[in-house]
Amino acid sequence: MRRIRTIVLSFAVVIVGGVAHAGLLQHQPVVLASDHFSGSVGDVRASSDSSSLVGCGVYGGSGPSLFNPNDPSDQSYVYCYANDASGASKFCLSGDPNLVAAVNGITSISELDVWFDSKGQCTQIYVEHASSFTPMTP
Amino acid sequence: MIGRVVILGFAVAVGLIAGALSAGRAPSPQSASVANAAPACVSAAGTTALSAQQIATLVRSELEAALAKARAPTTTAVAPSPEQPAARSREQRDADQTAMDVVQSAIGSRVWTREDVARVRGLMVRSSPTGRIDALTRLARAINDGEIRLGFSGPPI
Repeated sequence: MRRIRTIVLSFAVVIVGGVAHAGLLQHQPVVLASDHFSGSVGDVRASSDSSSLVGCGVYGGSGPSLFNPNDPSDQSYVYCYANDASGASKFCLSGDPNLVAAVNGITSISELDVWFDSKGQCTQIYVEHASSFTPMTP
Repeated sequence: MIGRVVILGFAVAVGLIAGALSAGRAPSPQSASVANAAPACVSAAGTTALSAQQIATLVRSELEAALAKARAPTTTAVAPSPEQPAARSREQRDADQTAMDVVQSAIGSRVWTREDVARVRGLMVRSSPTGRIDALTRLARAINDGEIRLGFSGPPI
């Protein structure tokens, strides 16, 4: 009887200890909406399907800028995109230097939220890095 | 009878001459007041402000200034033109047109393929900033509105 109690107690300690060390976990698969898409790069990469995708790119160049009239020498722009398991996609671009800076901050543990308008231009890009997000693994 | 007419005509002539002479010597009260007022303009308070000659000079100078202004060539303020994109070269125009044609053709077939991506990516380096953005935003609208779907797994560009 005493042995059983000891085994049960040990098992409970292991379980409780394990949970306490895991921390908060947030799973953010790719989500597409009419003016928005989001997902954490780790979770989207770990999706069981082969089409889910979320990401952004930056184009750097010099010359007249269309997106950023305040700085005619800055031709940089960003583009962001997402695909879901059904094959649906969203895509947008922007030359806003604030959005370029946000995209430059994306890492392998980032969660992305991107808003876009009817012209296909990204209007807001939210990048968060947190321990709760699934890190990207090979 | 003839003698009466001559006498009457003589009397009329004498009357006219006398009237003319009296008019030259004795000015009417109205003409006298104008003559007195002519040298100076008197303000309502009774103080002398400007002479008629000064007023005339002022009016003349104002009229001359107005005329000169009216005759001067019209100088319309021109707003500074916004920064114009650099003129596109022939190669850029061709690349811009081809990139847009690729996008429009894909919209027509409702599928964006890997081949389309490769073609547009290849054109991007030769296209103008304007053409590049035009083609990509058109593609973005087509994807977001469901006019076109990706025929592969991967980024649209």
